Parts: sequence; structure tokens; C-alpha cells
Amino acid sequence: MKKYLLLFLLLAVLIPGQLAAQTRGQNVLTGIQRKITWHTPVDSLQLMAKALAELQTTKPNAYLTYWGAYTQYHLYFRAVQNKTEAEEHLVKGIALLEDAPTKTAEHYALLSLLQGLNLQYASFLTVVFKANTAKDNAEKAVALAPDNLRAHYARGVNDFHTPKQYGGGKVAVAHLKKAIAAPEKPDPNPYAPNWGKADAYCYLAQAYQAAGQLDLARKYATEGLSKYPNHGRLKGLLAKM
Amino acid sequence: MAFFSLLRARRLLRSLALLCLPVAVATAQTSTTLRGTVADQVTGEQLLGATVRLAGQPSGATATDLDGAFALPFVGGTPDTLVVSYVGYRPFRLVLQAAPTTPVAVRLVPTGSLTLAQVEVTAKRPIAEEFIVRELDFLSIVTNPAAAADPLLAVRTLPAATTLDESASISLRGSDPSQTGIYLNNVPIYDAVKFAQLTGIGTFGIFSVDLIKSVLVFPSNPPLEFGNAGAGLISLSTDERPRDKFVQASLGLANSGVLAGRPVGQRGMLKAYVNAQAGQLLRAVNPSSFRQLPQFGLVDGGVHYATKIGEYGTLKAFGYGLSERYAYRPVTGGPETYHYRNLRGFYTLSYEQAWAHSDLAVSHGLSNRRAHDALGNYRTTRRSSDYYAAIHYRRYWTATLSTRAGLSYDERRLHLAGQFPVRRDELSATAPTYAAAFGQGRTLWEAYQYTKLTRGAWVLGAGLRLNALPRPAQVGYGSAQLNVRRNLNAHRFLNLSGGQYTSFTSPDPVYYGFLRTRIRQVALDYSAVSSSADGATLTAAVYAKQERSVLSTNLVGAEIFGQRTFLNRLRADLAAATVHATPTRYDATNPDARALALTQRRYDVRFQLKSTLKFVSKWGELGAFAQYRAGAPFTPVLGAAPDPTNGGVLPQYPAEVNASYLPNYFRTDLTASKFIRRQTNGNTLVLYAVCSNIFNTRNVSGYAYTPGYTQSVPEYFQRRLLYFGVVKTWQ
Repeated sequence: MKKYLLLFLLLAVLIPGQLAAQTRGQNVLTGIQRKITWHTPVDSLQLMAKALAELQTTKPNAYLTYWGAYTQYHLYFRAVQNKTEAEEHLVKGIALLEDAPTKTAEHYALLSLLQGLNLQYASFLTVVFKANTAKDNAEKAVALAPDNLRAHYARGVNDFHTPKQYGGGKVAVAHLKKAIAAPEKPDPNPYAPNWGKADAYCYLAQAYQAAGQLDLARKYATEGLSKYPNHGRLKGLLAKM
Repeated sequence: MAFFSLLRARRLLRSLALLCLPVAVATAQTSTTLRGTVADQVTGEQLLGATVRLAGQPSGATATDLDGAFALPFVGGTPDTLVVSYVGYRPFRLVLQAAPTTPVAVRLVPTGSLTLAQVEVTAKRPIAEEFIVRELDFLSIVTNPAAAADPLLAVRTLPAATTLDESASISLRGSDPSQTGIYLNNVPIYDAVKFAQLTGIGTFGIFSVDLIKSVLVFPSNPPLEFGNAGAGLISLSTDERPRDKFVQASLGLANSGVLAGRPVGQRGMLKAYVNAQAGQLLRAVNPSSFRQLPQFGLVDGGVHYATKIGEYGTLKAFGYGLSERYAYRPVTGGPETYHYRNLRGFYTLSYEQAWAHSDLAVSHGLSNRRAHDALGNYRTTRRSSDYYAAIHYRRYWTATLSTRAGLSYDERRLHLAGQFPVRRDELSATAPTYAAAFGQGRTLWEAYQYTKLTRGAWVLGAGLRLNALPRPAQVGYGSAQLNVRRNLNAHRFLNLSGGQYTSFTSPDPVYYGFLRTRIRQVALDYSAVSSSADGATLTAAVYAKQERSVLSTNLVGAEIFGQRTFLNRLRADLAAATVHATPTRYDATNPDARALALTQRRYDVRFQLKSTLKFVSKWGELGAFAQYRAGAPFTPVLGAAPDPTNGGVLPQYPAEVNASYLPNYFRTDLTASKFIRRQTNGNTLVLYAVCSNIFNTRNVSGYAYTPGYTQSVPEYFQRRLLYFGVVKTWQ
């Protein structure tokens, strides 16, 4: 009798813990895109990164990988003043995506963006080759999903930041225009991402600005801001124009 | 007018009524929830995050939870078709005749097909890629201070390289360099070295680093999809990626040349280069390092063209030509100087085509060579030609099971003709000679299959390679291999490989033709790469080999290698290795076998330490490479005895060959470089300086003897050598 009582007690202690852990894991993914925005505080992002990593160890999954890397992408921008920490976030995000056994266009696009940011920490000998890898991954994303917003966004950003003498600045506008015309969420899965359009407007305006076409730059910045009135970078960009 | 207004109002009311009708009907309908679970059909694992929706209603999709469960609300009587999709699985569709009353259990089937990007990448990789122990890319070659931007010299710095001289002929894990297969775009390149005096009497590889994308090194158990390699394999791939037009000019003491590249059409890239080495400049700066080399120089060049064909096809063509010569004055003195001249040309052609479930590769190569050498009354002309063609087909049966099969034709012909001294020790220009000619060759038709299965953390591979066309002159033989890899996690793995291999090499065309060698080996490799920013790497290996030919030996060895970056500026690695080779065995009644044993090396390296340091700062980059190892075994001459056949003298050797050891070997190289890029146009400038053997250590490479064998004189590897140069790129 004592034995059964002990067993019951043990189950009573363990099962709620297990259920709570599962619920926590489940909660991380529910509405995750809404939880990660440019306004999300650092500590929330860190908690989310931890929860995603924990869940990834028990239930490896392409979405968990993606959001884990995306959280690192946001953490990088929060830590940009601290070079070491910022680079650590990029390296973590890149490693997560590179280790993913199956990658979709979304994975390749995000990987390209992270690799592009990471170029600032590369030595002069490695920078050219790392830049090629970032470009290749953006092109893979576009090849896999020709109508994907974030694939075109990644390719456009990559081209925008590539110096002219290395062939940059030729296709940024075309890809960013495709990005703003693409649906935000082609994958109906609730865990799929939908971010990027406001940022694409911002880069498109910057690309036109860099080309000296200020009218078009102002037009797209205004259009972007009308659709995303809370986007800080668009506001700032338009204010400077 | 009033009539028309009334008509419009009625139409409007009717339209509004029609619009309201479905809403009323919908509100009258009941809301139901479709429940079920989604799991992997093979493993039964519940899938998190699978997309579940009804056909035609993409906006109403849901995803499975941690238990693979889903709940999809729908409105109406009977849903149409349930659609479940998940990355890496075939989409599942279930036509519903009625709303199910019990949960739907969905089992998804892994697709077995690869994504488009993976197809493109995978097609260019060998099937045994999981068992590669080391991969070098362009960067690791150009930034290696001991590699002098040479892909093969970069391999020499790996712990698995047991090369006992300073040449680019690579010995892997204690086997003779002739047993190491070197492949360029799947085509074997025999004698892949050219003479260059940077390393005294050493050699450099013939592959320009500017064309190379990656170097795969299999130090043990060469993959069977490659041909006739017995011990290890180095597979080089050229870079097919297009880039903008550029011109690069290099001017240096050691080497000067021009490299140019330009896109051809939409997807092709053409690169061409020519190099020249004038020995006089190098000699002028380093006179003491070239006392034995009064004359040397070379010119070589290559053209590489690569293009994409269709969506996943790649064509690569490479042509190469070389003309080189040198004169060598023996350390024992004497009036005669050894002269060597070599002309060589080869081309390779390869085409790879990938599909979602399969890929095809065709490769072909042709090489011709003519070499002349002369010393006193001895002079020969050696002609050789190699021809190779192969076809490979790979099929992905599922995502985890694939097979590669192929057929190859490999022909080699050697011809040697010349004047030989009647008395071996009498080499004066006026001494009597006799004329002779030798011809050797081999033709190999081989077929193979290699199958690989991935199951969770395990990767298994097994293959067989057989003589496809046995003939009396080329009797049947076979090679077999088994590989097991266990991924301990994403960054660490263990690899156990074993097999038996048959190869045909020609150590000496005068005494032997192509010797058949059977090598049995087993190796256990461990690799761990940290995911942190310091890129820490640790590899270790133990192996055992048995080599059987006219000469036989057994080997056991171990190696360990660690690498790490400190403070983002300093990259350091350290390698330690040991190989024990039993004394060479041969048929004592066969004088040719003993003669061969006296010329062959025994790779008994009791210890070997190698270390590379690279330091990057805003002023430039500094690199250092150091190697310290036990002296190589050699056979000393004990004295001389009269030769009754021609009245000369014959050297007397100990009964056991290669039983003595040369002094230990130590060498340190330093490099410094500065990279400058102009922000305005992107043009770059690299300034570099290299000082090899900075301590000017006298490393003994062997001993030479006076004509009567009364006195021995040590021969040394390269002494201290300084060279520098500049590389300018316009783009």
C-alpha cells in the first residue's frame, strides 16, 4: 500500500511539472511573430531565446530553429554597442541555421541577413568570401521561393550593402520592389514568419536615396509609413528627407 | 426620373438582401472542430509545427502542438479536403466524405527529395563526404604560412601528412606518396608536382590556388568512387562561381605572373594565368641556399573555364602547360652537373548534372609529359601519357539512402630511352655507355558501387570496386570499404573506416613496371568543432595499415590536432603525430627487390610536432609555422667492394635496409603580409615577405658518397631563404 502511495505522490509531483514545461514550450511558439518586434525588450528576447533553445533540445523543429535565429537577429540590434556581445548573437544565429538539416527559403533568407551583418567582424582576408556566402544564401532563398517577401528582402539588402566595385547596387531596387509586392505570410502555418515588409519599404527608400532619386525615395517612405505608422526607422528616414 | 430612382432603390435592396443571405445561412450553421494528430510514418515521432488546413481555406490554417495534435475549427456541414504539410515530408491530403467523429491520425512520409538548393550543393560532393577528415578552402590555403599559397603544401601541414621531405608529394599516414591519389575535378593527376627551388631541391604543386575552391583530404580509406588510390586521397575542386572581370599581377623574387578572369555569357567564368620563375633573382638574394643549383627556372600557365548549364548542370574545363629546367651540382664535388628539363601538358574536362533524386557526373583527362635528364655520360628521355575517363551516377532512393555507381577507364604509358654508363660509378662524359629503352604501361577498367545510409546519428557506407575487364595481363582484383560514422552531436563525430585497396603504381620504370600493391587499413577518427566564436577544433585519430607488394610493411599510428582563435586576432594550432613502421620485408633472393628497398623510404616517424600561428592586426598579418620531427630512416653505405662484372666498385649496405635514422628535423618559417584596398575603386594590393627556415637549421636529407664510397657528405634540406613580392589586383 505504501508503495502505491509513494508512486502516486511521485506522479502527482512529476506530472504537473511535465505538463507545465510542455505548456511553457507551447506558449513560446504561440503567436511568436507578434512577440518579437523592434519594441520587444531585451530581457523578453533573452527569455524567449532560452525557452526556444530548451524546446529545441527535446523537439528539434524547423520553426524553432528559425525563431531561435530570429531572436538572435533582434538581440544583435539590441547589443550593437557592445561588439563582442553583438557578434556572439550573430554567430549563434548563424550556427543555428547552418546546422538545420532542412532549410526553407525563410531559413536561407535569415541566414543571409545574419551573415551579412557578421561581415563587419570578418578579417580583411575573409570578408570577400564571407560576403559571397551571404549572397549565395540570399539567391538560394529567392530560387526556392520566388514570391517570398523575406527572400527578396534579404537579396535586396545584400545587394544594397555590397559596394559598387564588387558588383553591388544593381539589383537591390528590383528585389525590394518585389518584396513590398509579395504577400507577408505565404505559409499559412501560424508559426510561420510575416515580418519584413516595413523594413523592405525602408531599404527601398534608402536605395532610391542612394541613387539620387529623392522623389521615389520619399514616395516609398511615405507609402511605407502609411501602412506601418509605428515603424521608427521609416519615420526617421522620412523626417531626414 | 422618379421611376428610375425607384428602380435603382429596389435593385439596391435586392442586392443587399442577397448579400445578407449567406450571412444568415452561415450563422444558422454549426461550428465544428476537426481534431487529430500528425506523426512521422517511419519513426512514429509526433511532429510539432505541421501546417493543417482545409483545401481552399489557407487563411484558416493551424499548426500541430508539442504532441503533434491539432484542432482545426471549421464552419459548415462537411469539410472538403484536409491538407497537412511539413518541411521535409510529402504533403498529406484526405478527402472527407463527412465530418469525422473521431480524431484523424495522419502519418507523414519523408519526401526523400532534396530542396533545390541542396540538390545543387550535393551534386558536387562525393558520396563519402561524411567521412572526410579535413576540408581546406581557399582561405585556409592562402593564409597558411607554410603553404606558400599552394594547395598541396597546405595539406602537408596537416597532422595526417607524414611527408619526410620538403616537397609537395604528400605522404598520408605513413604510406608512400605514390599511393596518395590526387584528383582535380574527379580526374586523377599523376605526378602533381613541379620543380621549384623555393625548397632547395623541393617541388611545388601544379595547381594555382586562385582556381581552387576546396580541397578534401581523406587521409585513410580513400572513397571508392575515386579510382586507383591505395592509401589516402586529396580531391581538389575548381571554383565555378562567376565574379566580375579582374586582372591580377604579381611580381616577386620567387614567382611573377599574371592572372585574369572575366565572365563569359550570363553564367560562365574564364580564368587564365601565366607564371614565370627566374632563378637568378632568388639566387642573388640567397646565394648560400643555392650553391648546388647553379641554374633553374620555369614557365607555366593554365586556362580554366566553368559554366552552369541548365538549372543544375556544371561544366568545367582546365588546361595546363609547364616548361621547367634546372642544373644540380652534387655535394661531393666533381666536374659533372646534373641537368633536368621537363615539358608537360594536360587537360581535364568534367560535367555534373543534378536532378531532385539523382545526379550524373562525367569526367575525362589527358596528360602528356617529356623529361630529359643528363649527368656526364648518362642521359635519358622519359615520355609518359595518361588517359582517363569515368562516368558516375548517383541515386537517392530516399532522403537517407543513396547509391553511387560508376565505371572508369584509366590508362598510363611510360617510355624511357637513353644512354647508360657501362660501369655504374663511372659517369664522366667520355666513359663508355650502352643504349637501352624500356616501356611500361597499365590499363584499368574498373567499376564500383558505394551505398550510404543515414539513420539518426549513424551514417553507414559500404562499397566495392572491381576490375571490370580482367585479362591475362591484368588479372582480377578488387577493393572494398566499410565506413561508420556516429554523430555525437551537431559538432562532434566519430568515424570508423576500414577496407582493402588495390593500386598499381610505378616506383621505378627501369627495374619494375606498374607494381600491384594491396593495402589493408582501419582508422578511427574523432572530430569536434566548437560553435563558439573562437572556432576551437579538436581532431584525433588512430590507425593501422598493412601494405603488401614487392616490399611489405605494417604500420600503426596516432595523431592529435587542436586549433583555436584567441582575442579574434591570433589563430593557433598544434598537431602531434607518431607512426611506427615495421622494417621493410622483401624476397631476399630477388636482387631487384633489394635494390628497390634501398631506394624506397620507410615512414617510421617516431614523433612529429607541427604548429601554425596567424596573427592579424591593423598593420597586417604575421604567420609562423614550425615543425619538429624525428629523423627519417635511411640505409647507410658501410663500404665498397670490387664489382667483378665491370671492374668498378659496389657499395656495401647493411643487411637490414632503412634501419638507421637521420638526425631530427626542425624548421620554422615566418611570413608577413599587408593587404590594402582602395575604397574608391576596390582595387587591392598585397605586400608579402617570407623567410623560411629562419634559424638556418642544417636538416640532413641524406648522405652522398665520393666515387669510391670512401667518404660520406651530408646533403641538407633548404637552408634559410628570403623572398618577397607584391600582388596587385584591378577589378
